[in-house]
Amino acid sequence: MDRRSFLAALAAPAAALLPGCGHGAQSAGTLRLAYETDFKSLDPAQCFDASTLQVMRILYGGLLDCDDDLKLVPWLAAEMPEVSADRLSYTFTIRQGVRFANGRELTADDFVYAIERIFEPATKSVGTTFLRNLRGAEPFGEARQRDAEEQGTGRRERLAEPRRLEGVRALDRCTLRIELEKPDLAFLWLLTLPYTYPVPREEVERHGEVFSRNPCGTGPFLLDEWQRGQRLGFGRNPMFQGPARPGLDRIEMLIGYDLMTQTMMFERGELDLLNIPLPDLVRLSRDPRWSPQVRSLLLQETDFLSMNCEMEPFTDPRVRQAVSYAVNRERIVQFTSGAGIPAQGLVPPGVFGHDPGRKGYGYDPGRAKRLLQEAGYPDGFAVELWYPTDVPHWGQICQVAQQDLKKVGIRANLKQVAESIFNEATARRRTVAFSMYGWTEDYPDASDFLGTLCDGSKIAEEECTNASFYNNEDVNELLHRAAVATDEAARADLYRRAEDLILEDAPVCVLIHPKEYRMCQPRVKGFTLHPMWFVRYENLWLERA
Amino acid sequence: MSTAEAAADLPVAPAAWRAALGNRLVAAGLAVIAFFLFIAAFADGLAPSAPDQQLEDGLDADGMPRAPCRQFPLGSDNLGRDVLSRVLHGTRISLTVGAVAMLTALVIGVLVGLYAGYYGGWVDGLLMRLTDVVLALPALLLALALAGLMDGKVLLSRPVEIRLERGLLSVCLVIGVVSWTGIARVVRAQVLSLKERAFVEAARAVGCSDRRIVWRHILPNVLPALIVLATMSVAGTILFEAGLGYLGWGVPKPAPSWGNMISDGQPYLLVAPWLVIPPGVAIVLAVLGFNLLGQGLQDVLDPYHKKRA
Repeated sequence: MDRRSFLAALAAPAAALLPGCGHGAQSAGTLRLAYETDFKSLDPAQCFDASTLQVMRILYGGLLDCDDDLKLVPWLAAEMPEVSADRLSYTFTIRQGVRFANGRELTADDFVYAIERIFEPATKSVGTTFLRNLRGAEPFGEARQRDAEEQGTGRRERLAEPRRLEGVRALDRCTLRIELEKPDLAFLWLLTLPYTYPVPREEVERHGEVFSRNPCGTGPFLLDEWQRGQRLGFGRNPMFQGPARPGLDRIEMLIGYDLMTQTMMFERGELDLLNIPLPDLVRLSRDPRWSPQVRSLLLQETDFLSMNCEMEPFTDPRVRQAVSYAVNRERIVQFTSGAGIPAQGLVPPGVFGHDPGRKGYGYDPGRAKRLLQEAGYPDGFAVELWYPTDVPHWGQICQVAQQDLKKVGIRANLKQVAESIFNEATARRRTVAFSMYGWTEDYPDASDFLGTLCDGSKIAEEECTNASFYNNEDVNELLHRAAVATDEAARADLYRRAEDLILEDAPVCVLIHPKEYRMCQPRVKGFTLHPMWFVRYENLWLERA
Repeated sequence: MSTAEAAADLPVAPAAWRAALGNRLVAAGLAVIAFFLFIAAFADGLAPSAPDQQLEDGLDADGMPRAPCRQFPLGSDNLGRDVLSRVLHGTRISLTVGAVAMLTALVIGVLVGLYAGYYGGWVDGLLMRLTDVVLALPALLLALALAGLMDGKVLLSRPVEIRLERGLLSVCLVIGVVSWTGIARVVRAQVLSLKERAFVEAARAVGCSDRRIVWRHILPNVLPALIVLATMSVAGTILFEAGLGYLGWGVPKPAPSWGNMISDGQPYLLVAPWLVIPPGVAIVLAVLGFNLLGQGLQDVLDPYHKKRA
């Protein structure tokens, strides 16, 4: 998930699976939240940003979940799947007695339907990129594309062969088998993402296009009010079958309040959770009234300066290394009031494949100057540094980097552009030479960072996630071997070697792994932050005053 | 016409200037403007540090801006830059934008107004409908839309490359392009009455071309109104630049325009109000100065207005 879509999510997040219903004097009540912008869609197939992700978890459910220790645990599956020896086939048993909010019982067929639905162009899902490795996904996707072209997008009959997705089959009512083209140790993580959450076919067909506004899932809550652009209300789902009973009666979300307003509302006691804006961080965490309520989370995210290896002057690795030596990461951390740690590599701490012993580029302007001289830029050069408008403090980070770069002769002119233009331009080949970029994990595995950002074989003319357009045969080879490796230690080693090579070539100048700070009212219990889910509303409960 | 006669035709004669300077509003406005001009001219010498310099000790141990103290008379901002230096240098940007945008608006407004008023008929209809269209769109929205176009697209590649790029000049032009309508209407109204006057008739009788009549005989008579309008519109354009900067569409960062400073400082309003108060006060003063001057000049140059007042 890229940093910008993730940041669209400036409100609340999550907690530990509380043991059963042991909340003591738990009582019900209404959790009050506020968001800056409304949700685009509440269809799990279309979920893309972190705030929607949190809502998906209270409305829907998946086969597997990720617990507090970042371990996979069964969710709608009765237990962890049986895995074949070749690591290509996974057999799940679905939990019995789970019902959708409309009362119908969940079966294995619902998973098959949900996953096949992702590949229908009419679903407009972003999930296909994650599920390409399912057996037969490619011909199935192409067939659905042909259907859509031939009959318009309105109809859902499948005409072109193959009509079924080979790799996902219901063996009986409660047994699901998923098969892959190539082994992938990170595959099970994908099943925690909303794209495979089961949706009831009858509701999708009844609502058609507007299913995204009429969610119906297996989660503890259901949407009972949505005034577009103003408010959402969630009540308990009477069909919900556990395991833990939700501790809240209702969740109310107000839409259209910026962070400053949210902060004031929170301090007046009108909101229960707050995503603390950077300017108020020091004030609130020093305030004896609020400091016990503050929680922090080191995000599994890396912010970096991306250098386009196909554009002058960044075609020369020495220039790219010079940039990495020129920027003072400690100073960036200081400017953000400590809301982050200096990054040594691309894979953030807590993510599989992170190397805790890695020493990245230190701050060494003298060396940066020498490298520039060797590369034939004794007087430096001028370049435009692009950054998107929507991340609150990226402008600041860019200005800090700008001053550091100026010291070694690189004159970076800041170019602030709207998010949509930024995304489009940086993903197009030979368009943007230098940009501020960030990547947040979709699932905690090195493949989501190195494979997505640095695989040269994935370079495309448009919509390319390798924003540095970095292509090194050795790296590609290592990444491809790592992707299909079936031994954890060997896999980690391959990713580490790939990251070594990448950092040496320096297509990116890693800056920081940011931290996020949130706080809750004292009456909110069970509030912890989770690296993948942020706030888990389903685990919160309120103490009676 | 002799030069003496021509000079007599101009109401803005030396005597008028003397009268203007005797007006209290004019004097006050000029004093404020002179103050800002002085700051703009000598900002480099007056400012304790460079406006974009992120100073080593510009932030406290928590990474927060420093409150006003001896080292930072107006405090430091969220990047450890000296607020005083930024406000002083911001004067330069605001006055430049004010002046250039005003000139842009003036050129468009005068051309449209003169020709619409003088030729009348379909020329008038066309130009005035164009004015109405621009007037009907909220100026700020129009400016944001135009600013949105400044994304580095190449407009012309030959003979010279012209790019639609965000910068000081493009901001000035954008503001000018959306704020000429008032000028055009006033100029047209004046021309409509002036062209019926005897001296225009006389000029035509002796065979002056239309161009000469418009530029040599009518324009000088519109000048008093134009001077007032132009002065007042500088105040408007300074505010407009602050508004665009505040919305993030002004002069690109890190340029210390007052609007940018308020925009950057707003999230810190509760913890560091010294980030927004100085640029805010500067905007108020500068706008006040130009409005006072405009008001005073109106009193001096427009006898009817004075009588009513």
